[in-house]
Amino acid sequence: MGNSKINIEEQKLLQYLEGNLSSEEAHAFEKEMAESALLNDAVEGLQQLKDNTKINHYVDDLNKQLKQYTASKKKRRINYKSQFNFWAIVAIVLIISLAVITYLILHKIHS
Amino acid sequence: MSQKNLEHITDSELLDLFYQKKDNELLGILLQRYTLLLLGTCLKYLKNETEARDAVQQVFLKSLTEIPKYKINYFKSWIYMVAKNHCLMLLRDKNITLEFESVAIAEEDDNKKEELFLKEEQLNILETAIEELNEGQKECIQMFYLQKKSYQEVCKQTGFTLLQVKSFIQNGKRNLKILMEKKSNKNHG
Repeated sequence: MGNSKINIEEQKLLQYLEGNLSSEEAHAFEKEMAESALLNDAVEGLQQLKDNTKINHYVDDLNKQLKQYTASKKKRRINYKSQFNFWAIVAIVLIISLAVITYLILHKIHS
Repeated sequence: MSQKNLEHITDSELLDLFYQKKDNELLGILLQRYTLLLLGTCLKYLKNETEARDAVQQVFLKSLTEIPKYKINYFKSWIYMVAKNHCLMLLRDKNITLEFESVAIAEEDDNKKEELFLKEEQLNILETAIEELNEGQKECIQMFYLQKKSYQEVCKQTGFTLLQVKSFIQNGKRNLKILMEKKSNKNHG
């Protein structure tokens, strides 16, 4: 199943499409189809696909895009934060080294 | 709450959590549960893999903007409606009018599972009610629900197409419900 997070319900659907359910399980699944228009349409649509192996790939792609839509704001904020941290550290290091250099120069002049 | 805990809560709990926290990642988890079903539904109407995948993306984007606007009670029915309407709109733009099949499946919400087939008295009523259905409905309902035959087996034995079988089962179920309600009212009234 790759790295896709296929839940049990989806797994049943895929097994049904491939004809890998026992007749009892298949019947229970069809009863669910009779109760749910969404499930019924989904099965009819997926049955039109000639190559079932593509399904996981498509679902993975769609989920990855979905993740980008839902996580973008947060990520941007985190990037901004980490960028800020980076420059803050650079500034602190520069200030400290300047202070040290100034001290050393003054020290040399005095001696 | 960690991602793992969220995988096991119901759609409506997840939605409630989103309305409290306004965190889009929660919607992502919810929508991800429907990716495969939405892909299938869009494939059914659009009959084209690329268009169907684009359509699912559009449905996701639409959901992300629409869900925060108002309180959705039955997410499954809602997302199905959004996806179906989106596909029909795309088809309308292409001037394709769908020949709608007669299979109009009444969407049952998670919370109101059918309480049919419960008591013995109801079983008796059911038996007489089935007899009152028309031939096609009676045959399909008996085979599917009582003899536990698959769609394919029912098709084979009756000679009906898959679409006809589904339609007979759907309409038969609806009629059964009406007949049973009538009969049990009569018994008690």
